[in-house]
Amino acid sequence: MKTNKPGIHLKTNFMKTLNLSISILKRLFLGGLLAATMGCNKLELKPEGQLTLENTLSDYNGFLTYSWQFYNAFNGYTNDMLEDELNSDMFARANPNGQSQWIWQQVTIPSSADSYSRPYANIRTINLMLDNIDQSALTPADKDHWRCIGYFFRAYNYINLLNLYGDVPYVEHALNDKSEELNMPRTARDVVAANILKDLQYAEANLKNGDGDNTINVHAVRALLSRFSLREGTWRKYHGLSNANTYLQASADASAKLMVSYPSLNANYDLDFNSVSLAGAPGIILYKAYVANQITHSQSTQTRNSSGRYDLTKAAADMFLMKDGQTRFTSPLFQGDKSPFTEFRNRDRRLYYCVPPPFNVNTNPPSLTFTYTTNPVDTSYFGLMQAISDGTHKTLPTRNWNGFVVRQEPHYVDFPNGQPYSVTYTGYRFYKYYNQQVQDAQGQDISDCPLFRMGEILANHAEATYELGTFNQVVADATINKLRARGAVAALNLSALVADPTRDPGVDPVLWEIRRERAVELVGEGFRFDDLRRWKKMEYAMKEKLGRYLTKGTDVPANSIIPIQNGATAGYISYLGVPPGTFPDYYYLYPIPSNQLVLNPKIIQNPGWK
Amino acid sequence: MKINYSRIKHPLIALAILLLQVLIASPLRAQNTTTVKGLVTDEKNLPLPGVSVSAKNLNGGALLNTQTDPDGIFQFKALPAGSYSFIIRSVGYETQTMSGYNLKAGELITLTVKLKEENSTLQDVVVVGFGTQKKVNLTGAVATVKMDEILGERPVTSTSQVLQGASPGLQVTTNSGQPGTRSSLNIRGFTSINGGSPLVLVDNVAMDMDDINPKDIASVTVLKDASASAIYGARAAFGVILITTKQGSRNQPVKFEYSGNLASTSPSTLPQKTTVKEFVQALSDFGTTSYWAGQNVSTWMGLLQQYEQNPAQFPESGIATQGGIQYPLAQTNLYDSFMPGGFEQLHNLSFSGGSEKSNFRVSTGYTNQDGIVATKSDGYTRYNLNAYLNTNLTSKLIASVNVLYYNSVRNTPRDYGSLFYNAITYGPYAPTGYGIAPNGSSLPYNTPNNILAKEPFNITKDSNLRLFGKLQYNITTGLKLNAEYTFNQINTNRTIQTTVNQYINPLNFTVSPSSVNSSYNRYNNGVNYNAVNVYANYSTVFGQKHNLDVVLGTNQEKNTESNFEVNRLGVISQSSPSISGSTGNITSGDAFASFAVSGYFGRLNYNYDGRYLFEATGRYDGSSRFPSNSRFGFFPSFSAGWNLMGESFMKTVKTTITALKLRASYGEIGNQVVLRPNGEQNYYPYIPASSPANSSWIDPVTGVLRVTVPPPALVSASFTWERVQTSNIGLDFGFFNNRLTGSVDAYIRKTLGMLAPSNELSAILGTAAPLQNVADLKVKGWEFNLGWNDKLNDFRYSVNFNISNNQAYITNYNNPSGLLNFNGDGTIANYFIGQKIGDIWGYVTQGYFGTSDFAAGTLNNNLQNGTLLPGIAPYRGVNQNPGDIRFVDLNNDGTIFTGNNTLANPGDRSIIGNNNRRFQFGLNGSASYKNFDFSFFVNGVGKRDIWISNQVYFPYLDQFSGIYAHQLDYWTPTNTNAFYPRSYSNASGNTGTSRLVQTRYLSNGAYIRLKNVSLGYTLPAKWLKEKMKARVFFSGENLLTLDHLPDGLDAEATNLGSGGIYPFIKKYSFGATISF
Repeated sequence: MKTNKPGIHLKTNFMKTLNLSISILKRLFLGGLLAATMGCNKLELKPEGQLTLENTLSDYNGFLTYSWQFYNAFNGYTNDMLEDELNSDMFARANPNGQSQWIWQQVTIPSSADSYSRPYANIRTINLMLDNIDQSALTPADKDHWRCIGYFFRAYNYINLLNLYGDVPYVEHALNDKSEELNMPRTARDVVAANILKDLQYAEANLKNGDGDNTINVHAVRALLSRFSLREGTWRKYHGLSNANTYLQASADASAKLMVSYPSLNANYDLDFNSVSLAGAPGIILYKAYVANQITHSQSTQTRNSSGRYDLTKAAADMFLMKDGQTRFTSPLFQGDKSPFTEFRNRDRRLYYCVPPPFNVNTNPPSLTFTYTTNPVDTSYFGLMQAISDGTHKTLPTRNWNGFVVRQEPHYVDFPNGQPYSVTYTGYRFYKYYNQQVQDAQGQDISDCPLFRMGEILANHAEATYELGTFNQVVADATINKLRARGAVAALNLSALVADPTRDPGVDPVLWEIRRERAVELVGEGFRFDDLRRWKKMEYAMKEKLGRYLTKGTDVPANSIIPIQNGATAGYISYLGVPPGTFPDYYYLYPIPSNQLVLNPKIIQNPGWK
Repeated sequence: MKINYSRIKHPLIALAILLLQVLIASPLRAQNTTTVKGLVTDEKNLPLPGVSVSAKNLNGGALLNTQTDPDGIFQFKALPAGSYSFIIRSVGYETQTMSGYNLKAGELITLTVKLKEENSTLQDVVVVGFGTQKKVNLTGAVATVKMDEILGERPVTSTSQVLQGASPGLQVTTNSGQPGTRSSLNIRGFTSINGGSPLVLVDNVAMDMDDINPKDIASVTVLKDASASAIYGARAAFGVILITTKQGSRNQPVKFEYSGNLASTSPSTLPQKTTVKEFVQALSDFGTTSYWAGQNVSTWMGLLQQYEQNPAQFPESGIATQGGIQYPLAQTNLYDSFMPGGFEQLHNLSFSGGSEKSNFRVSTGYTNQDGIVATKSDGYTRYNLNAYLNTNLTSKLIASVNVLYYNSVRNTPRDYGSLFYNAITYGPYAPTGYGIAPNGSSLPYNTPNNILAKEPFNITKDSNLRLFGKLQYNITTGLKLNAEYTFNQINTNRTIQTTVNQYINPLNFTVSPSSVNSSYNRYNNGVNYNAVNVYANYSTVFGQKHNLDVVLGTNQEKNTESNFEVNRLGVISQSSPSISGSTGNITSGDAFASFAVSGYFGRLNYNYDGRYLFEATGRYDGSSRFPSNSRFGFFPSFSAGWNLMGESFMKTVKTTITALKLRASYGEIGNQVVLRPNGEQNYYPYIPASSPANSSWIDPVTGVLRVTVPPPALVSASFTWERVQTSNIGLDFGFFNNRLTGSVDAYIRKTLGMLAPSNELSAILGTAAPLQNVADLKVKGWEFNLGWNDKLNDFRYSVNFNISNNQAYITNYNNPSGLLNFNGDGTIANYFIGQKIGDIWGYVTQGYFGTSDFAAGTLNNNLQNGTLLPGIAPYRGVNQNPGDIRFVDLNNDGTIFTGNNTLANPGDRSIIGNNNRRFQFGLNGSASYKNFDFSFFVNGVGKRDIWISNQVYFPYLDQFSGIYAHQLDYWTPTNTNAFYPRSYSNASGNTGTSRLVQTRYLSNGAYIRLKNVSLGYTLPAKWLKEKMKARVFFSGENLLTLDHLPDGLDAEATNLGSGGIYPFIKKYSFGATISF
């Protein structure tokens, strides 16, 4: 039934269709080609909302914007400084297995370390700016300005590297993945230190103004010169290197100029650390500002919750002088350390700002209010703190972050009396950063952090001049005695030195007092471990870290698990025991992270580290 | 005219003659009418009633329809004379077209039609890239899924979740049962260190699979190897999922269909808390004397004992106060108030139909899911619309349009993370109502139910409009020209509001606000996508046995996306928040992204007699993500197949073996995806630029952080596509008249030239080394599926099983120092040569330290401070005690340690497991008997290790975390054979060391889950009106899971995190389908 219908005439139809289809195909291909051309242009997309180095570093404002990231190198209030202090003789954290790896010689060579890579990342950022100055359209004066800013921050980062690692590769230009410098050996300490000094001195000589309030200006440069040169000068002196005096002199000179520019200190020591704003505060050269909803910290919070647990050691507490300028071992004012109430009488005021004075109160549920106990001794420090502080700072009783009254100080971790916050192991709870500016919120602290302050500069100057042999009573009065006066401690009289029985016989009595002043003034600011390293005195930290005197059955229940030295029922608290051996010499420098040695065989590990 | 094509030597001549024959069609003049009668039977010659028969007048006359009577007879009484073809259709049978009838006036014609039963999946036509292909002729690794079969009546609204377990080698993973959650898709395992996922195309254009209503999907094709997906180029490197939507069909009477589901939902698994007494006893056993929240543990225990004897002596709240400290004593059930379960409804309505010249389908869908979490803050509502129209403009020009639209509103609690964390963490006594604050006011406890009731929730509104137009020009028989244009606009609007509402902490009874500041946040994201496809298909048969198919075309796409976000503090009115109605600081941000792809492709298919199959594909592709000098790449692929059934030597076994085909393919595709270290797409990896960011330095004048510009990362001038090579061999088979069918595939996929840091460089560079095409990867795997379907009289049943496995290895990577960067779960975050992806590194557990491991007399009363005997290795720096986990000292150095995290020195760690999901399987079955039908779907993972260290796994993970019923088997001096190691006071001491990644606590992640069971009943026709069909059904989702994990942990989840994830949902659903 199927029918086929052959017909020759239909071939033309077919041909027509074919022609038609071919012309359409032609059009298709033309269209395709057109699309292809469009495609090529279409594939060239520019990133919107993103910036390149070229369009950023083009004018003064661009450089200014770029430069703000350099300030990220200032840590401000983080726990880094307190973690560092734990490696010294003055701080302890007694968590089980919480011993300092440096003191207990358990440091392992890390494969990578933030303290090595982060400064280099900062240096790259800075070098990129420095490399772009010359070809920019800036005026010569502006070029010089940005050079000075760049030098300051580059020096700041190299100082951190030099301090930990000694010799480090010194790069002055931004590198790329093909740069030969990636295979360079470590640059000698002498060269790195000289470059730092040269850059800082250039910046000191050429930096006219900063970029507004609280930015890097000539004073900040001098403050860094003072800090670095003292560290380098003493390191060289005590580690048997040459040329110490060049640096000591640079430090002394920079400090001296700052002492002219900043003649006075904040009258209240505590306000250096617990002010909502340090703008214009006397003796503050540079600070890191904290502002609610912008950038906050938790240094105060952790003295008010259960997480901090950084404690002073007994050795640190004992360094604080009596009001009469005598040590607690020599002063007639000292009434014994069996009770915290007697131990804290007549001390350097700074002790009261660093460790809460003892008290006992009863709280009314739920602890927002309190009542006095029947024993007046229990609140005998309330008046003192009222006199030297105020309600947003350090009046007693102390309160937790919720505003709950702490029932007692010292307030032991292992005898917290139902209050798990604000506790201590050693009994000397470190609360220098405690304030009551923020309530009911954790990690929202807004107290500004001093980065360079005259307290340090005065201590630097005293020490540098001593090491140079120019320290005398005049210098003492301009430095140490200003700090002592703020602590309400009698002045240091070079003609009537105190015979401190705990003095290291290898240290001159004058230097001993200068170093004491530094330790007390800068406690908990991250200096002590570095100071012991540059003085080569880590032996101080190799002793049993003790806490307060404690009598079981009196201060705490007889069955308390708080460990006392030698397992006694009364004596000094000792959680950590006696560290093994002596501090190895090679421990004075950090090990270079191991992968750096693999990536560049010319990098040789610091001696001793395996 | 009869031509013996096999005698014609030259295939081109054969082709020419064939074309002539097909094209010669002469219209004849119609005069009077004709009668056509016919009989329709099945293959056994039994008459088939109710078969639809259409007579199509090829001279442009009307289409006439009729049906066979109970004897299988049909009749057209008065057909105008002319040229006709007859189309015979019946459900369950292959449609047959009989053409070439030239009816003269007054003639009577009789037809006999034998319909062939539609039972062979191998006869199916499969949608492939820019065309279709008979399944028997496929040569690539292609799997197809018919949506109606796997979706059935499952109460699931997410397309990706329907596909889970449905196709071997396609992995669908989800991390929560939250309504509206999207899944991640993967084909054939680890793709690239730079990421990469399958390309999902809906009717040829890219789209998120979960943006389309599964009810609108006709079929899903998964293209797994390079030969199948190569035609899609740039984004198809790791497979393509082709989704074809339902379109209605020609000559189909209008059909309405409604289906509705109502479902009640509940969590599939929740952690089981201890009793209050067990909790406090555990604290005491661990040595905690003072709980972090202030309670003295022994006082607490004493009070609990009194409470047990006489609860009435305590306040109604069950909270006793002693010494100013509150001691909660009553057991509460926080989960009941937090996740009381929810309700869902799905409704779908569609109508479709077609005339001689057009067909259409319009569907609407409505989903409303009130999640298992209490209140309206956990909900999802979606409206879908899909309209399709296809019509012949002229006899040769066919136009189609498709509008896809949906909009959805999703409500989520502001901080899901902390809700789940709190639910997990809060003790078994946490009060869930109101309490008295220290200042005397009545405030809610900070428990999830109160937060949900009081806090505003986040609202995310999505809308997606996709317009699709297509013109198809049938130039001549076999030659088609197609032009497609798609416009897609996706918008997301989100608001987040925070309050300063006060709550009481249910553990330590302090008061704090939900946020430090009240704030209002608005976010808007918009995507515009344009795509043009122009392609021509040509297919022909010549010499009867030579089959040729050619596709040639171009694909152009551009996508632009931008968003902005504004946040302002200090909301004036919590009930009517706005940016302008807030008073505080404003912060804002915006971001932009765009990409473009430009490709030219071609494919040639040839087969001889359906026996010898060959295919070649090539694509020349350009991407905006690469610099202009290395922007384009050419990617070819080849495949071949051999249908053994066509061979004469197979004739003898044809009764047993119905189908047998061998396939092999090889191909290469480019991968354009480049990710940033944070996992986000990098659209401009070759341009050294960066986004402005805040510094940490305050401007003292404004009190705001200074903005700065971080330096751009180093960029290599010449990098280009990663090349993905796949080699695949496969076998398709059918036995016993295709009652048993299946296929096996084995493959090796190499991802070559992956963008990776060109070299690990010294830290003094100060930044990461630039990316270059330097790393290689290899995945090996196989897939298998097997199906059986048959019927015994009225009983029809089928079972399908699929399983797949793969494993990936790094074959080239620049890590000469063998550095290992460990993740918390023991996996390695970086790469090295020879690395098996997913390996877990950990310590080998030897057991517990026992008292006999310590020098006699050195242990104190607390079994602490002992001196280990010589030769027994402690963890470095740890003073071990009995009950601590002891590890094997693999390197015999006397201590257990991490080494320096290199391959050469991983310390005492070794590879102890692998977290890749291996042997993933799916099993579905269906059966029907008369009006009843039943189906089930099971899926799972055969082998997987997971390191879980959250608080649902370990007791007392830290001093704040909870203890669960299954965790009570912990070490004490009197229970030294416990499962869990010794814990210490406040979870300090050696608690952490005993829980380092190790063999003892490595979890077995294998599981099997009954995803769905459905039971349906089709209402008898006599109850209903003519043509009407109705079916009711009951369906259960996630009813049963067998795994090795504690309650509250779901082996299916991608990330168990801290233990608090939105649980997967168990559903019981009831529904009906009605069509007429």
